[in-house]
Amino acid sequence: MSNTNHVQNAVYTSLLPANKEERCYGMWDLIFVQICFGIAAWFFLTGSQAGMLLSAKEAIPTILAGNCVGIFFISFLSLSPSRYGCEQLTASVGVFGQKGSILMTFFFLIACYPALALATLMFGESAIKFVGVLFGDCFMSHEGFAVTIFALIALVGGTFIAWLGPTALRWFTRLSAIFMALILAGLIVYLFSYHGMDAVFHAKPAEPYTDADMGEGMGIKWSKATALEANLGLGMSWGFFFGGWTRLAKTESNGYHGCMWGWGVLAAVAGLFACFAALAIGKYDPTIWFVQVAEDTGLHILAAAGLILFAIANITSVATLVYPEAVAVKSRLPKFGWIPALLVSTIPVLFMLNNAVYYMVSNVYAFIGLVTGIYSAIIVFDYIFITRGKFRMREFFCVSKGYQYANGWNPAAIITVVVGLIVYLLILNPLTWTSLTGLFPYTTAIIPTFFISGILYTVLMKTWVLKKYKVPFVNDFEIEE
Amino acid sequence: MLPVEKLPIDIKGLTDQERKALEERIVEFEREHEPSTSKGGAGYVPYIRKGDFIFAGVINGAILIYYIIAVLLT
Repeated sequence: MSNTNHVQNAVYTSLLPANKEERCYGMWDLIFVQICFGIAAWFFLTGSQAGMLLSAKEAIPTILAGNCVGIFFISFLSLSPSRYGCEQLTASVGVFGQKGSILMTFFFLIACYPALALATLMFGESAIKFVGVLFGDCFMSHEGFAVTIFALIALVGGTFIAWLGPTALRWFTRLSAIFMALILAGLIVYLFSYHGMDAVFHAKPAEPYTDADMGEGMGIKWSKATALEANLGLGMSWGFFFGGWTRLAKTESNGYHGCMWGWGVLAAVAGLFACFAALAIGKYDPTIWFVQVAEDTGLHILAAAGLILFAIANITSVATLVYPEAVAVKSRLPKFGWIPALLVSTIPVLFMLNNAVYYMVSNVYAFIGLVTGIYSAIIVFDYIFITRGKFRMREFFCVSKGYQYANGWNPAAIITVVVGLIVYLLILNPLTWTSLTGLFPYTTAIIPTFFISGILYTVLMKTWVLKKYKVPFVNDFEIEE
Repeated sequence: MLPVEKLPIDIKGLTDQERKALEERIVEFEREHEPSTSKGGAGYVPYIRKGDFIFAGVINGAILIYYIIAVLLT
């Protein structure tokens, strides 16, 4: 490998800060990447779930507000990685401390695994329906083991694309974005020509919470709060991902807008049409819709084509998730090679390749929202009220002496993480979907957690940590003086 | 604040070549960009403008109002 290639490789795998000449993503590149990232799996499932719980009139603003406002709250995360050319978790060293940022790397990974499982399982669901369309009823066309096998293939394929690096990824995502646009266009034509706009907008949700299960007048409240929590969780789930992309953005504005609109309102359009399809067809699983379209129209080629395009897009989604994950691992733990970093980012997913996970989208995104929401609150409030994005780059890479706080941990950030977890769990248990305090469904869990965490962090920093520890360019200017 | 010579690049797992490249980049950043970033200014790339935040705030604020009217007030 030539010296130039070696250095370039180190930039793309995040060992080295990306300087101005190495920035390859403009705003539209980032929008394409993020649209593809979202459309393939996550937005389809959360949108579909909203359509199973709410009418179109309520589901549309829920999907838009959940995703757009959620990501707007955390959009400041894009700035420091653009400014310093460093990956998200490297740029977090100044906030969490050297050891604290490694804990956040672990948080990042555990937030990614279930999302990766959803994308690979969706590939698996597409694949078994495709087999069913081509060969009829057989072992590989049934849910269960066949989905797991196909999901495994998607995991390997997506990891391979991630291994190729950002240039290959950019071309895959552009291609995939075109595929998904075709699918969406086809779905829109089907929905409005076969079912009609009126039918979609007057359809009743197929599986809402009912008063019989939840108590008098509580069914609709649980339906609204559940749909909003899942979409807010999806909106905030991008927290750990900003830096992996915006460190390669050509300007801070490109990174800010490219990620926010790509992951926000533009990708949420897919969620809206997924919601309409769920309302019209009455099924949660998006891959069933293609089969339904083929049966309704008599054009079986549409089902095959749609499922292939959907499957390819899901593999690209896996790649766009694995790449920043591995970059984060490598940036905080450079002793890992690129391949081991990719493996750490993917192997635990093997234990989640089970059909049950595919049908737990609310739980998955509430859990992810919990983990990323607290992290994001700390970074955002730090940017606005504490550091204003002023960091000393050298200290990011000086493990023994840079950003030490208390032996490598910023106590304000760690206390905030613990309190944030407690606050969220008091409002909503994301695994059992029950509320210990009864506050859910009257409030979401993620919004109070986000603001309480951010305010607590700010108070602790101003009243305690900044009086006890020196932070470069914030309360420490000795060299300049 | 510790002087530069007391802050070695000691992140583990780098090859000599990578460590040298990293040191060069940091020195270049300290020379070219840190005088600005230390005051909350631009780093490697042009700084974000206030208009970017205003534009994002207006669009997302409108979406939030739509949600409140369509879902919470019905």
